Amino acid sequence: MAGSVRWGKISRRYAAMVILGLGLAVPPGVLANGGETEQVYARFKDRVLQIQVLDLSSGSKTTIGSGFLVAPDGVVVTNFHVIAALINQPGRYRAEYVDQHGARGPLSLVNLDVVHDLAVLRGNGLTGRPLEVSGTVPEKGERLYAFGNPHDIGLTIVEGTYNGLLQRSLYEKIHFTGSINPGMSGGPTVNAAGALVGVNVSTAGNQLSFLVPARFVAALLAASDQTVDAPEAFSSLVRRQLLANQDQYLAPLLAQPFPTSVMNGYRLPGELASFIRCWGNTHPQEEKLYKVVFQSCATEDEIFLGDHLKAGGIRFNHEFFSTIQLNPIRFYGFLEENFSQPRIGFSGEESNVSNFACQTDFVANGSLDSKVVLCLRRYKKLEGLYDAFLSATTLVGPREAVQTSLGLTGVSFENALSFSQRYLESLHWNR
Amino acid sequence: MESLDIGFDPGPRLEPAAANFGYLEVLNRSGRTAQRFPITAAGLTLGRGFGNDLILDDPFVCPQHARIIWNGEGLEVHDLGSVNGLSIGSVRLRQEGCHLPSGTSFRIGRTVLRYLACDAPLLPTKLDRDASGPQRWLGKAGVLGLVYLLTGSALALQLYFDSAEKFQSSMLATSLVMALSFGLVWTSLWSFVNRTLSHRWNFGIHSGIACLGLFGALALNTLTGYACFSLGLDPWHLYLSYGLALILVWWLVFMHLRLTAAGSSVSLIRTSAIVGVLLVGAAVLVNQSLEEDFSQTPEFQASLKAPGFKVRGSLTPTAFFEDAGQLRDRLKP
Repeated sequence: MAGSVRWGKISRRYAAMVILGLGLAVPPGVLANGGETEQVYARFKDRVLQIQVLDLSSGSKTTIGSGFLVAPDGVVVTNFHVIAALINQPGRYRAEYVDQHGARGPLSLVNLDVVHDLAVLRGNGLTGRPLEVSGTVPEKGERLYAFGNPHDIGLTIVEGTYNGLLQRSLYEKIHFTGSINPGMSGGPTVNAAGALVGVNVSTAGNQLSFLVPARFVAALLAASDQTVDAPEAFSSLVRRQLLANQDQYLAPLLAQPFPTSVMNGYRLPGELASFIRCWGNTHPQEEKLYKVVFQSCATEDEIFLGDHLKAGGIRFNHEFFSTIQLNPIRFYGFLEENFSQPRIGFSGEESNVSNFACQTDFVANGSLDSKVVLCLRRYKKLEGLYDAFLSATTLVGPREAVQTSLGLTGVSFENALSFSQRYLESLHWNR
Repeated sequence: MESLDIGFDPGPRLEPAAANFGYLEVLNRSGRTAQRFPITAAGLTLGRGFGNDLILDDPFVCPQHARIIWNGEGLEVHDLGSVNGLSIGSVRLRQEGCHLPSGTSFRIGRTVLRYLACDAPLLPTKLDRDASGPQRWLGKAGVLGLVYLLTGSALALQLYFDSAEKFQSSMLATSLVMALSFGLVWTSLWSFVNRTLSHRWNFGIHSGIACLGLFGALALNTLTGYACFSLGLDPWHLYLSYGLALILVWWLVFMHLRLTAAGSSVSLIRTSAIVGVLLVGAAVLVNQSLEEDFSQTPEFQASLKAPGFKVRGSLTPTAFFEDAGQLRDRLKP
């Protein structure tokens, strides 16, 4: 209690300063936009909908998101991840829209783009003025307005700024500086004229948010014949899109030798492409009697397939271990324990992926001898897609070794083996 | 060597008049001797009545049921006019006598009796395992101390080689206390069985056997790891471990049983094998039941030792990934 009294005094003392500070921190444009936000809200609020996915048994909503009209005859766009349950568990869920007046009606799936996290639906009995989808590209710093229904508390408009496209992302995304929160997924972000700039898709917190560019919406709408299909057909479409996508991003990587970086005399795969980022550090662990230098590389974004499954990621890490104090038996005993604990995590549940099947052997790549384990698992509902795990420990000296691990998600069997082989072949020992 | 011949030679035959005429044994349901009565020159009367030499508490036996007499050449059994008679094999006697050679069994009412002459051959004397076999060395304090020391050192070495951290006496102490506790429980169990079956504790010898078992487990575990690494037997590691565990448990139980039970070596080996299969089978089942049906992370067996221990040759990356083609078949539903 004493603590709260003290805090009360302090808070009163500094309240005025904080309020003043906040006032100064507000960007000048906000104070100067002269009611533009109100106008944008008033003009376009009727074109935004809440999307609900309801459990057929209980009748309750299990997922909420946002969407918007793109055609006067009830065609709605939202994120794939908002309505993914309709495809992953057909027969268990249905989708509904709720407009700003509380009117609701059923939605049927028309088309989807799983790679860019988009879905097109048709609302029965839904009419209204659509948003303009022209693929507008704003200027950096231009004011944008994101619509959505955060946390199911009602339609909200969020101001923010356009900060260009993400430069190091495998999948093109707009960097939007504004607060997008859960429930706003699938909602539109428009410019002051009401033209669609992007679709709200994710956030990293602290006003760091991401949008799917409007051009992907335009492309998806152009490819949609607007016939409603069975969920099984969409599952097959997801599979085809994922297979095509992994071919598309892996082919350029496999077409040339992997770029490498040097770590303590070992040449190891480095930043293979602009969309892969590496981080590293050294841990001299005195109590552990050995030193470890590590580097960890990964793609920044993966494709959402379901609540517990993501695909399209490449992750790998290297750990260089060395010791002076440990004898070879103790050192390799430690490496054995480390080796058996995969350094790369995988998502997935028994309903959508199989267990891993593994193969172990000694592999010599030039002068570099290694103990290698390769494991693969199958996607149960998306035939032809696999996750792969490769781990290798070099066997070159009694007191130093490199342990490297690779994880690939949602790739074809052939690409899994080709990429893993290329990865292993790019390991070299310079001494 | 299974048995000694002591007891096969009955020694010089005694004249019946100078000693008793042998023994009448009352057999229990399993055919073993429950009671034994000497037969003298005066013979023996049998019946439910209290005036008999051998009182049989059997409702199917008459008060004066039968008599055994010496006829000058041998013993005869006579029925004394009983209600249920007297049976020798399938022959039923009523109010008549019958010669009674040594080893003959007969039935009165529902009681089975057997006559044995003084010179009836005896079963060979069984070997007291306390005084033979490798266990007798464990009875010596010096050898037992050495076994304790050997096992303790193996445990400490295992701990040392398995750790990549600075030595911590608390870890060693914890490990030793755990091993000691388990060893005490195991030893006490066998000592109790030993005491129950042969009136001796043999605690020291049982503890020595337990120590040797623990030492064997540590040694086999280490050797299996090195064999799997050197020869590339990782896919067989689990089966190899279970097989060696079965042999170790078999040996351990046999050593304990040999000290405890009086059966022949063959029967002890058979019993130990059954116990070993049951124990290892139970361990396998428990392990399997604890394993999750599904794992998000790759689970594999990959032994890793210093490069100098590698014997098996290495594959090229191309050969390794050609082999990996079989993973597709293994993953088929």
